[in-house]
Amino acid sequence: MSQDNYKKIEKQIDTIPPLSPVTSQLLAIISEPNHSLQDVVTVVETDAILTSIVLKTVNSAAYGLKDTVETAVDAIRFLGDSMVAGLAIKREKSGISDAPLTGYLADADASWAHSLKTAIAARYFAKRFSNGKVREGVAYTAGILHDIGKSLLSSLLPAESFQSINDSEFLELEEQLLGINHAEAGFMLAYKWSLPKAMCEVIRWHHEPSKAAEEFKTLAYIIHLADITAMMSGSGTGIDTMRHSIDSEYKKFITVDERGLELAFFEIQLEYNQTFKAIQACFDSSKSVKSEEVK
Amino acid sequence: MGKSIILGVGDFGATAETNGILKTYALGSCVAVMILDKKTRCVSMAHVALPESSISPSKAMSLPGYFADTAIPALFEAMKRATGGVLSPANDLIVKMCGGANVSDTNNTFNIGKRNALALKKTLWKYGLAPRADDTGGNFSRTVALYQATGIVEISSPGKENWKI
Ligand SMILES: [Fe+2]
Ligand SMILES: [Fe+2]
Repeated sequence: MSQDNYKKIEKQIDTIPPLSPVTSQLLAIISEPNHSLQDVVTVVETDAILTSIVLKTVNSAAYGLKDTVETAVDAIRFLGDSMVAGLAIKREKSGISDAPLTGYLADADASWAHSLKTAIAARYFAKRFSNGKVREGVAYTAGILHDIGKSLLSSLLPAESFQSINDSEFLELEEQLLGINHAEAGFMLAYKWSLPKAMCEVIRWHHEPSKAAEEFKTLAYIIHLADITAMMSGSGTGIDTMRHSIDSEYKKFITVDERGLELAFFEIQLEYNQTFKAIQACFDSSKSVKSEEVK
Repeated sequence: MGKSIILGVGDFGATAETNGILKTYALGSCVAVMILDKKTRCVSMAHVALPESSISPSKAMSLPGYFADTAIPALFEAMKRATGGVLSPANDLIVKMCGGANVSDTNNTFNIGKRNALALKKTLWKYGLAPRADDTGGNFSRTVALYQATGIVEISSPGKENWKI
């Protein structure tokens, strides 16, 4: 059974459309410590659809800017390069950040909401509590990508028989049911896509951050904590919400106390509300953005 | 079916409309606290995310439903607005709450869900109130609907049969 599923997942990975070159380039640039805003602008400007998504988002009512932003460079300066990478990933045809996870009994937009909230939380923790060890853009994009494995497992999960299943840890349940968990499946996809090493590592270990390679441990703990933060604050992905345990060792890597964590919860929620609205407005008003062929 | 009011994280609302429904989605560690007025038939709900507003007092003013200590008075005000100024004394109010789930945590420090429920009970107590129905805890998320007509709270969670409190 498990061998079977493993093969199924490998097959599925082969059928998933590759990341568009623009998204891959953006991910690579953001992983580069000394990249400039112009590096990002140059790549975005090669892609007319992404440029229009970026402009629509920045000009959405959610931000309430007085003057219309007309150029990619101004839009990217306002949104930040990590959010632009997030938009590029959302636009991906493979739907890895926003596919409806029906096997997890998740609502239609739960997957994207979870990716986005985890990303915003991860950037927040990186900026304030990582002692400069993790760059904000890396934390954000890792947050967007951390659960790509769920889209691979979703169709294999026996959603209709979940009622007979107990409340055990969901990662173990995935292993019992399918012989592989979503973190490992996500890693297989990340590896195939040749994502930056940091991304591969945190996708694989975001639920077991102590197993991450030493140089990526702080990032792994940041995604771990951001993921739990998202689930707790109402942005989970259905049945597995709240069914992942927290590794308290995070305190060694993320210097946040209880009060700081509560304030983080609040501020992350406010930023998320605004960003989610801005992005949704953009993708709603241009339903065709996803179906268009990515060149 | 009456009009449904959907409440997001930190939102609160009240309705005295016949067959009105108050609904909130995917409570993780957040708690939905609901007050039902037996006399006016007005019902209210807040989606509470944190125990204390003191972490950000200025912003709490604009989002009182977000914090346990500010949510209860906000619900009273909302109920008065919905009924044209009438709110029955504590004896005629029924309180229900649900949500407040916790992820498993060996050190037991990551328990915002538990602390939310506790902070709400403390605040309610100050007003002479206590929950009559309390469906908090566990390690699963809950979606909640409160029906004005019956006062029944229907809870759903992915992979579980719906239940009522
Ligand atoms: Fe995960
Ligand atoms: Fe996650």
